[in-house]
Amino acid sequence: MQRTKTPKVIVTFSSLSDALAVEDSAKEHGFAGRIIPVPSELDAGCGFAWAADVEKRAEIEGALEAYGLDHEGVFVLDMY
Amino acid sequence: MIYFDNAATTRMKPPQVAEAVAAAINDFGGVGRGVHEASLDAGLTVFRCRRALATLFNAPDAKRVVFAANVTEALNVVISGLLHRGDHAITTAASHNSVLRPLFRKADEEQVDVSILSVSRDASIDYDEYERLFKPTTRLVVVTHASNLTGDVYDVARMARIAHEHGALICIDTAQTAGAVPLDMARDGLDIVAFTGHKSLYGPQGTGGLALAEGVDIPSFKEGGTGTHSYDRRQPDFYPEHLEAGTLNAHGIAGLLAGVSYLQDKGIDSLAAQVHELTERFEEGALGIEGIKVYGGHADIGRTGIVALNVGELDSGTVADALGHDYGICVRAGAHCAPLMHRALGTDTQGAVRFSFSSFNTPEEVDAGIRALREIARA
Repeated sequence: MQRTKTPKVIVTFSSLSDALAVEDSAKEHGFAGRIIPVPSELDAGCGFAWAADVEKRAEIEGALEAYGLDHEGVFVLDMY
Repeated sequence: MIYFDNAATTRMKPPQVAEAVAAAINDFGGVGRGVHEASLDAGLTVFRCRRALATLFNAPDAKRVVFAANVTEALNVVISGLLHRGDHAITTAASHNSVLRPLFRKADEEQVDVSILSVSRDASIDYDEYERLFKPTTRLVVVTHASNLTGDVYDVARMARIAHEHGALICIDTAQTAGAVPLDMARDGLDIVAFTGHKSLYGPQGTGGLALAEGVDIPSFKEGGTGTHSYDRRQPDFYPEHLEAGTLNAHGIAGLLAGVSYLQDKGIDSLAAQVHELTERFEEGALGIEGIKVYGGHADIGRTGIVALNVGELDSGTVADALGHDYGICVRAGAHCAPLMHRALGTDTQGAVRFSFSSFNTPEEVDAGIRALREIARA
């Protein structure tokens, strides 16, 4: 299968607990994305990131704000 | 079997606790060790347990709940980390060895100055005497919320106010009260709550930890793998990872979450009222037996589900053995890891027989306990 890169919105965290808080909130509120290993291009020591298709960026940023979810940064990267 | 040793560990748990542990053993990976489903399931359960405990204790945030193997380990983390040469600490004679021994070690090895507030024969403490113990070097107060021997609950909110007026932190040992007495860290000004999971929180043995107020910082107790920040030379400086190293007991914590969820569903006040009714029923029945002496249990602020007693001059171990062997009733005898409390009550030779109840006990069981005690007292 040919793998192609597509743009993703990536949220990084300083701690595992912050990543898990987003996972828990997504299960409760149904916003897009899932936990992935943090891409090597980004510096996020906890090793976990939240990723979704780039068109979901506004939805995710809205959820981070609405549910008070701690995070380090929001980025867009081309990823497999 | 009739089990009245709930102050040691609750044996009867809500069925969902064992179900959660079994499911976790079959499903979980290691917390923070991967982004696969098995690891995330474990991580999410542990996170939810932190959050449930933060809500239960009114702690500032789920991240301020740190897991340990039990309340003893949690108290060691606090005492080991916060007290050093030149510091003064205060505790009470009601303390368990989980507080006393780490303090005495600090006194022996680092010359930490330790003051012990006396306890009266009725198990009460004098809060004015407590305040007089403070010194300019007082850094930490470590006190039990309720005696594990008599069940007397102490006014930790008042003790916290006084500690703060003197610039000290307060850590409370809630081994006997977490899940049995409502706790509110924010309202009562509690800096550190040390808890165990396997008593009134109805979790499995091997669970416990700390809840920390905002701004309280404790040096790391152990260093090791956290699954994250692997290139950092030392333990991360943020919580909860700062005080956790190595694979967490996620299987046990899954059970603890089920226990805490049960409590939240039933309500601590409602379960505590059931336990109180059983305790009063037992005490009234026991006091009607000739030769029975009951210790403490009448603090103004409340009691947990404990009745400590002796039968005449009989050794407490003899009474506990007769209850267990002849009647199938499980109680604890002896010194209860509370040596100074026994000295205060005058029971350091005889020990005491401790009956401790949970919401899973019944009035019929209590009545069977009273009958057995009456027969032993007559013999």
